[in-house]
Amino acid sequence: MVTVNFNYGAARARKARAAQKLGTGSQAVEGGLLVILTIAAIYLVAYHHAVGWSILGVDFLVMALVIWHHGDIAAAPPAAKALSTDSIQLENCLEAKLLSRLQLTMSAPQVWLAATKQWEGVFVIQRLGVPFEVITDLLGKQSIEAITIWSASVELARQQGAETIDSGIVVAAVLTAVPDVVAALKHLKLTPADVISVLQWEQRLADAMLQLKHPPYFGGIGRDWASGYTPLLDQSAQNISDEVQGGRYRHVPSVHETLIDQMAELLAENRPVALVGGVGSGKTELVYGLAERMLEDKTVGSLAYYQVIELNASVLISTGGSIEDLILQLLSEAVSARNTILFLDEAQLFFSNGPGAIDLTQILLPILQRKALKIILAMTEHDWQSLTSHQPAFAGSLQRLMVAEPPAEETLKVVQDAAIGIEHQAGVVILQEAVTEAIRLAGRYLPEVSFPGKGITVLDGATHYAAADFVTAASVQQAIEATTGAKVTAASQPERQQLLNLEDQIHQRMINQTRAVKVVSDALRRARAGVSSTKRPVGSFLFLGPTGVGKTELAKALAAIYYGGSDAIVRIDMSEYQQQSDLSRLLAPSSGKQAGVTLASGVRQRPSSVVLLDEVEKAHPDILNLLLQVLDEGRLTDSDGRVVSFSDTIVIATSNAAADEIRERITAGEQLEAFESQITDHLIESHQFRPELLNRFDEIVVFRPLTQEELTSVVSLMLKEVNATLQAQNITVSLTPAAVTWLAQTGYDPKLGARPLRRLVQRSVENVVAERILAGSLEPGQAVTLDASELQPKASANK
Amino acid sequence: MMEFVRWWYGPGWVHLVRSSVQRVRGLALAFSLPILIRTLFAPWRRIISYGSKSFQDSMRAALDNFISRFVGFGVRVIVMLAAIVLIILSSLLSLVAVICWPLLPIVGIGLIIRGLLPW
Repeated sequence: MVTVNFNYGAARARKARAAQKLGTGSQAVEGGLLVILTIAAIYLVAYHHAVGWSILGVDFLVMALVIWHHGDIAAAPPAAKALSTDSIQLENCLEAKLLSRLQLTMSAPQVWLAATKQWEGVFVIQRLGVPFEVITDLLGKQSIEAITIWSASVELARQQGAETIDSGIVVAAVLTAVPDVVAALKHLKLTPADVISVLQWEQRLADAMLQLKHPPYFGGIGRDWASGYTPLLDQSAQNISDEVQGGRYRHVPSVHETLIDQMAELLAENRPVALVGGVGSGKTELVYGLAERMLEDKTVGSLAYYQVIELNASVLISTGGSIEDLILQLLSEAVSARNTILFLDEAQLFFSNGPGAIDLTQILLPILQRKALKIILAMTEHDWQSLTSHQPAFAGSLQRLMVAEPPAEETLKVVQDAAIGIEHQAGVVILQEAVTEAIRLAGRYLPEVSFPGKGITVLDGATHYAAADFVTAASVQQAIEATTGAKVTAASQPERQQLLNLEDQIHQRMINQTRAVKVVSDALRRARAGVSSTKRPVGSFLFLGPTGVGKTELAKALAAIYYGGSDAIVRIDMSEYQQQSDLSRLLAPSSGKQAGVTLASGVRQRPSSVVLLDEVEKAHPDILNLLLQVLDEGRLTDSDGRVVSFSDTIVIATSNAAADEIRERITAGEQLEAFESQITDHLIESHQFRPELLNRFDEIVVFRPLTQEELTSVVSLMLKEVNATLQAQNITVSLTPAAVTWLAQTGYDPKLGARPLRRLVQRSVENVVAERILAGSLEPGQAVTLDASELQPKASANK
Repeated sequence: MMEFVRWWYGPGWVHLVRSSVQRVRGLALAFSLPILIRTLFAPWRRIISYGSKSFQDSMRAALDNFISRFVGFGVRVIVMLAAIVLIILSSLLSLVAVICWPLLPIVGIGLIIRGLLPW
């Protein structure tokens, strides 16, 4: 059982209060006093005034007191292992400034107020976005004693391995140990784990600030006298070690520590290192970490004081002249300097064969085989595979080190620490919710980039959306929406209304198919309300039915209404992918001029879109297997090995399979709902679809053929489109009922549905209007009503 | 008062000795003494020649390398001497400070009394 006591009169408590009273500005006063006393004493003693000796004596005593102030009172170090006993004395383990604010007796709100006056406490509250007054009021209304907070603080400090209790720990203890406060935080979507995470963030920052007071030793003035001059490298390359020495980088301990060890071992043996990992996984940071370690002569043996110099391919190319000659000179300098490690970031740029590119393999290979140069290359896994296939001998001479994404908790720490630098540059305060949201959304929307880099990138972008200088989760969501087009922020009131009335809006664009419209609308509502899985597509549907009944039209309507434009649609005709060899075409990372849009490139360009897979049953079975992964996991990997996310798409596959059966049954008077499941069974039994594929769709929707009445409504919709086109000329076209009926009857084909109707409207209505405009009988601002008799000759003439 | 006396003749004095040692060590490192000793005879900035097969070229290269090493040795010795002088001075000052430390308050009180007395 741990007991916590506080001795107000203890020496350290008194010293802390004294230091607080003296403040930080006392140095100037003390210095001035000493100077005046010294001058006065010398003057008086020189003129034989005996009091001069007394003043000199006072001067000595003041000097001793000043030394005491700075050496003992202001420092007020906590007692060693003060937190490891069962009988805790607060005056021994509290941070000095917090201790100075303690009174003889204190209530819980007073402890809270004292803790929130220090930067550590402010940091925790601010980053969590906790309303300070609310917590103060809650503590005031509770019958919580201060001892409860102190006990919780002691426990928390022990859990975190802290040697002292600072105000950050006290604030975190209040936020995690007082039940009503915990409940209040829950309303703010904050958990005790969030509080602990921010506390650890504060503790790391405090450690980093402490380290700044003790700058590392980098070798002194004679460090480089035994190594060669590198004038060309100094001019054409970037010295990473100089940057580290200038304080522009501090490695975060524990992240990729083992990899730095391995790199140091390999380089010490003159074995070239290839760091292979995704963009943003921290390859460059690793090199900075190694440079720091070598400059500090920490566990690097023979590599002590080696410098890392980065060659930039684009800079070298821009220098003009013979690149090969320049590089040979640079390599020669690096070899003869004997303290240089070359670093080729984005190393694939040095080994390309394309026009304007450099291929260093022939130059580097003999040097590496002689082990004459220490070199680090960084590249992505795709580039590494490309290198191993095109330059196997060169790749074989490299020692590959895989740079994997750090675990989630390490990623959080790295992004938190990076946030401090981002804050400094942007002049904002980044909240914990913004950090966690950046990591969450980066994981979802930037599948091509690795952590922690992508989390930092998203957070950096979110600073442009700061509200009142605070970067919140909403700022991050806005940044993601702006860059990816995905709908991330909570639905606004107008959008909520739009979602609730989705069916009505869709029916403004298409006739009937009520069930299809309903199931699609339900899926969208689930997605925007955050009810459905965020990993799978927003919705996945298989539309079955004859041609010309509105399957494609529904897809277009969704693109227009949900994604803001009818061009937000990636349309793939699956009948073009009937061979196994077509798989690579479907997964091509970019569409060439002849290839058209591929599935991978289309979704990468428009991650928020409707993916329409027409005539899906005609695709090769291997391609359909690929579809299983898309529907299951919301992602696929293109032929370059890059992941494409489908988590913000609506996947719609259409098929005419069983169209005849549907038509026959409807014609025979059967109700659609009654035979829908039989149609699905029929598709499986006839081996047109595999059950595992059908099971993965959210809904299988059967479209029924349109009736004559519905076709007249379709005519009205098409007339609306004609009028929308003519709106620019302020011309309005209307049809008599006879014209509508004639169009509906003539334009209907039992096999092609309403599809011929569009052609008929073009041939008849649009042509009549065009001729009248050209003849001058129809002018801007006029309206015209067309009858069947006027349309018939035009339609038959154009057949 | 007792707090002051306890600290001055206890942790304060120990702290003075420790910080004096740190200062001397810091001076040695700032002048790169360990590195200079390790590379005392190394060629200056690795300015070295490689002789060819002819005896004359080899001799010239050997002479060049000797000069480079000699220059390196000279510069390093001069810097080391400067460092040693500074270290000795710093050590002496620290020694004086460590000796005077316990006397400072006593002398202060003594001087006050000296000034107040009529002689």
